[in-house]
Amino acid sequence: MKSYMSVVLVGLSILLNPLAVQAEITGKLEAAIWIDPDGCEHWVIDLGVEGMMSPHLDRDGNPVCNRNPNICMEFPGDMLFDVNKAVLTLDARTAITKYFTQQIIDGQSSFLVVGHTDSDGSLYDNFDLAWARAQAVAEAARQTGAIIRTDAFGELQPIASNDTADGKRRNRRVEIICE
Amino acid sequence: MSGRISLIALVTVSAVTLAACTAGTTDRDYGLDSALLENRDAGIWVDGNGCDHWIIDDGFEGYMSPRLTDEGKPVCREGAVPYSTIDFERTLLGF
Repeated sequence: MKSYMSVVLVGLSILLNPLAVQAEITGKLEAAIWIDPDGCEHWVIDLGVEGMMSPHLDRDGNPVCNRNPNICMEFPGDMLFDVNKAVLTLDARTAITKYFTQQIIDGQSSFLVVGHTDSDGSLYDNFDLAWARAQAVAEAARQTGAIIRTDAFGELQPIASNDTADGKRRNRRVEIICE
Repeated sequence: MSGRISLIALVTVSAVTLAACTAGTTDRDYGLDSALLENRDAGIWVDGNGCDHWIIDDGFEGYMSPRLTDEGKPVCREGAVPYSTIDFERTLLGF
């Protein structure tokens, strides 16, 4: 009965709010973040042979910038790992391998891999998680022949507010810095 | 005669297409009308903020561009699921 009511409520809310009309989801694509020489973020999707890119705009339409342009690529934590885990998912391992393989072909072979978390949990746990995640990415990257150093900041270098779910999501990340 | 019919058909199709474009840029309804996309290559990719991007993949090249309103703001549909796609199928070359 309860679930029946919730279906009715959801149905009503869709009817009453045209913005809530849901188009049917037909797939899922994770994106990494490329930071341009101006320090602005772009969404990057890798489909194998080809790649696609589109600027990261906030909801007001402003480019998301002020990033360190030495960062070559940023992988969202949610793209690579399950919650509180430091084991790369299968898709993540494929993405990491492809990225570093291409970088080596392009003549870039030395990298600093840096782990970051949001502020949930203790300072020490977050540092440990960020460190373990950086090691996991480094281990996969080294198999491509890349030369990797690692570092971790845990929750100490946020790039967004930890007061919102969206900010926390952005703070959970692994940065790849070209050296 | 058939030339006239195809001209009429063309005009009709153009009018419908134009109407569809106009409908797509009003700020009232950003629920996707799947018929709008049916005969195009473009699908939708939802970014981490829940905002739409047009995504096109012809098998050899891929393109992506933010979906914007008339005022240049991103189109962020309520309840949109981050990293989901709509009417975008990976081709044989992708996997």
